[in-house]
Amino acid sequence: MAAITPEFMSGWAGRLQEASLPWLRRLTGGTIALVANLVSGVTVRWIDCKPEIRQRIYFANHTSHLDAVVLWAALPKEIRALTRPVAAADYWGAGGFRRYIANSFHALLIDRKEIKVHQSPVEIMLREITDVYSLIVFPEGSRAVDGKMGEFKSGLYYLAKKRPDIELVPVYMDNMNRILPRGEFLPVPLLSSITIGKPIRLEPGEGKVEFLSRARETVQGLKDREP
Amino acid sequence: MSESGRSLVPVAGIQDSVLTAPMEAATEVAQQAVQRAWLNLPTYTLLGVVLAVLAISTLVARYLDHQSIPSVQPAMLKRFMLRLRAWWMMCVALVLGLMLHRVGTVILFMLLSFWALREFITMTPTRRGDHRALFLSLVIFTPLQYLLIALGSTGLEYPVGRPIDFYGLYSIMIPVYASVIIPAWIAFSNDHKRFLDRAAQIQAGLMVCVYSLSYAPALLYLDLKTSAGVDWKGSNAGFLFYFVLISQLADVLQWTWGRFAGKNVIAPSVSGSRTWEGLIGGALSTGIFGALLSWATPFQMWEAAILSMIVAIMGFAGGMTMSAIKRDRGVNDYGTLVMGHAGVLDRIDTLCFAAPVFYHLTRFFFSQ
Repeated sequence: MAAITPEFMSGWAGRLQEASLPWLRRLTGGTIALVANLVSGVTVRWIDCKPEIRQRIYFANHTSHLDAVVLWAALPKEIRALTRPVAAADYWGAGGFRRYIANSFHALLIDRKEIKVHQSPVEIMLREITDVYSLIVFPEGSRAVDGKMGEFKSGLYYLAKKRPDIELVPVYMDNMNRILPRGEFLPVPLLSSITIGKPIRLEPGEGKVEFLSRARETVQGLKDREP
Repeated sequence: MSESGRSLVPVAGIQDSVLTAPMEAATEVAQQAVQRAWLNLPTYTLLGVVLAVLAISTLVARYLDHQSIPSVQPAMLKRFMLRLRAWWMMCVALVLGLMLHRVGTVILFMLLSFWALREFITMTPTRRGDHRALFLSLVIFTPLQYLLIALGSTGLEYPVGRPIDFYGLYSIMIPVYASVIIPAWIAFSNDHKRFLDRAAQIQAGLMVCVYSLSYAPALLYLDLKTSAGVDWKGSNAGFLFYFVLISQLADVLQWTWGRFAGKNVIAPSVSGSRTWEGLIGGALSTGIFGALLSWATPFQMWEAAILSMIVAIMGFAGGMTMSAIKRDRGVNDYGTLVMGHAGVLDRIDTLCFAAPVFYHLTRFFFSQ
């Protein structure tokens, strides 16, 4: 699993990752998935959408640093192996241990501070996923305060525009902000739920603002869906 | 352990006379400990009866489910089958725990408490400022309570000559120390909104899900006697199993009575299905079952009947209380919140309320 920039792979964690055998990496990944499932006590509901091995972009609301790893861990094992969550480089890339963990759950680390013209997050994502991997993105960009969903950034629109063949799957994650809120270090192992809804696509002729608000509404709509 | 401790007594003159008498007592105790088996015939019989009843009920339910013309309400049958599944799981978990001896059982109940408290807190509206108090409750106080109980299994002695029994500490830790520490911890988080509510919610969760339930495995550490003061030679594991069985039976019986004879609903705004007939009929019939199964306990039949009725009434009170909380929070079952089926807390609410009362009555009248 290639990291975005060579810096992320430096240090002992990087060396360990490079040296690690495939089975060891799988073991770490499996352990992370298990721990994430136990800590978040997550229940997954698929509504009008089935787990399938095909290229997809899962987009979800964002309230906690745990979101990426919990959503990844909640997917079935075969899908998980082909799915890369986009995570913040300033959090997951800080320190050898976090970097090792991030790499084990196939995180695609994006630096939110240094966005360059030819290194825009969307470019990086598209380059990294090729036509194999699925992606987990959080279009709000940063974690919401009080669990209220913010406006979606345009990245999702450009992803949809450049890769119209990929399904966009809305995901609503509930209670994650109570398990690990902003500014806290230790998670409280409460229960949470993930609702995965009907895939959407960019309609022909649909504008950026329209599409983004429609995407946001589909996520919001999952919040109130009865089980 | 006690011998080496005693030999450290520095007064040489009285050593001889001191040494012999307690050593005889110690061997006597050791013999008794050997005689009191972990699992014995009555326990296996009780277990066998329960498994047989569960198996027959499952077969009957399956048969009814496959009938082309349903003879009972399908919704009722469905609920009954879910109940049966929960009982099977409970039974298997309890047997696995009991096979792992006292410590295994304590760990099993700790996991139950942990899961129940998790459901409880997930459902209650806490605020951002409660995060660390919640961490404290779930990750520190819950295991600590059970650790204090399990330390009785280590065989360590403190002071020398007296096996460790932290009853004095674990019976007050959550009601006293947690109730002092948790509000203070919340206050330190610099958020005063609904302060008393939040502190009380967390404390109530700890009391019901952790403190009360922990008295069930604490039954394993009692030195049981009959009411005549004779040492009871039976199995504490079987005794715990008896208690769990009675509390579940009470639940079924009160439901059955309420369903077929219930007229006067006690508190319609809390629970539409809990009636006076259910409470009284359930308690009396539980008393009969409790008396019939008294061979698994140190009780005489009439004692078993009274204690079983108390368990039934406390369990009923537990169910009512939990219904009130659920009604207030607008959920049907604790599990539906996240899982779509009844949660752990729905299954153990009767146990939670009955355990401390049953423990203390047993400790007072049938121990020491």
